[in-house]
Amino acid sequence: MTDPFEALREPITPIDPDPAFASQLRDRVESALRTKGDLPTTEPLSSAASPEVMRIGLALGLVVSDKVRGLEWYERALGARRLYEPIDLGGYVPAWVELGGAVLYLTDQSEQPQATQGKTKLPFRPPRPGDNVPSFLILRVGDVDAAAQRAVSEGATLLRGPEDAPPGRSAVIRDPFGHVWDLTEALAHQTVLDRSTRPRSEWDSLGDGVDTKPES
Amino acid sequence: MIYYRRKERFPNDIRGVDEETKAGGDAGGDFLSLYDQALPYVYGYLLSRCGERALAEDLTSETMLAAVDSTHRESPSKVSTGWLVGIARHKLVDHWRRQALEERRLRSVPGSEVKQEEPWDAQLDSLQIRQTLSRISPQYRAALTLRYIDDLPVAEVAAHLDRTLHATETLLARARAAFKDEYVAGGPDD
Repeated sequence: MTDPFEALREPITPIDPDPAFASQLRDRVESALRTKGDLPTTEPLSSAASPEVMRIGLALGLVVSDKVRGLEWYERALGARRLYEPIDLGGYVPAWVELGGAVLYLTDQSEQPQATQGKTKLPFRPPRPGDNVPSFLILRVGDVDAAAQRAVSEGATLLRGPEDAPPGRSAVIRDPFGHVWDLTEALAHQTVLDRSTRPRSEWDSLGDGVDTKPES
Repeated sequence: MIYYRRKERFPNDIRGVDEETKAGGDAGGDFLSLYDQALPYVYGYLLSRCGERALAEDLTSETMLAAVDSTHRESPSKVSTGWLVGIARHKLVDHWRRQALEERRLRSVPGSEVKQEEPWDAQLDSLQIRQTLSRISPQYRAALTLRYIDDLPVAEVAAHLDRTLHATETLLARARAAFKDEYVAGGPDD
């Protein structure tokens, strides 16, 4: 007897897709080819992606008005490190940065309409200046005063401080994209949960961009 | 919906299609000409395997854009229709894997014991093959599609499904049993 499953075999039969779909996809392919060819680096910046970063289970999506400008600002003003060049992955431009051991995914409207076509529009918008915000970012820095000064000189607004407050010196700023940051010398949970974890340990520096005060 | 078109068999579906695509020179232009040439094969492959137009379009887009990404990172020497169909196969298997994970949340994993396979002598109807495949679990659908519809050797099926050879043979045996039960249950005389 023959194996009935052999009847399942089906060679590939070319089928022309809907012409509108075919030409739209062709445009996306063409744009992806062009965009990537223009950029010097198309590789993930693996040196920035530490094993810790590759294992984290939570990343923050931060909505900004322009993700490429945002990427540059967080690098320059807060010492973030980009994990990937901002290249077009077919309608999606990654703007991923590592900061304080966590990862931020910067997002804006530039994916529209390609990457989000046919998908439910999500309730995203960057905060407006003066808005109350539903969440804020707490970043441990080696030198609060220097970090705040650097951020303000790059266009952030100082909302409070720098001042000494438990669990450590802190300054609160609003960045040019409307997000509110608490730049702090110490994270409360660490000082409470682990007395041995003091500020000025392994997170001492802000990265390449910001000088830290010498140890006193 | 009539999406199923069985054509006469021919020994290698896509051999010969690639003659004119050569690596080198303007990689972008090469890729676009490959796109024009390969699109009906990639789409035809995906549509015939998944049976849903919207899904086939999504997977076709994913395939083409992943291919562009890949040409920027690797040598374009392997760029061909066959290569694109290989990427499409990965995307399809990924889709079924996600579907299997979703279904696992809703119901228990399908039959864990291996039934003794009985000889099955039947002439299978092509439309009913499609309907049967769409009703069995995604991991069975993936295994049978790769092994029988795509006619891949078991070792390649195993590689696609990230399983050992032995585990793949067991999976295929279960998948054949499930397919047979479902095929017989949805017989032609109802």
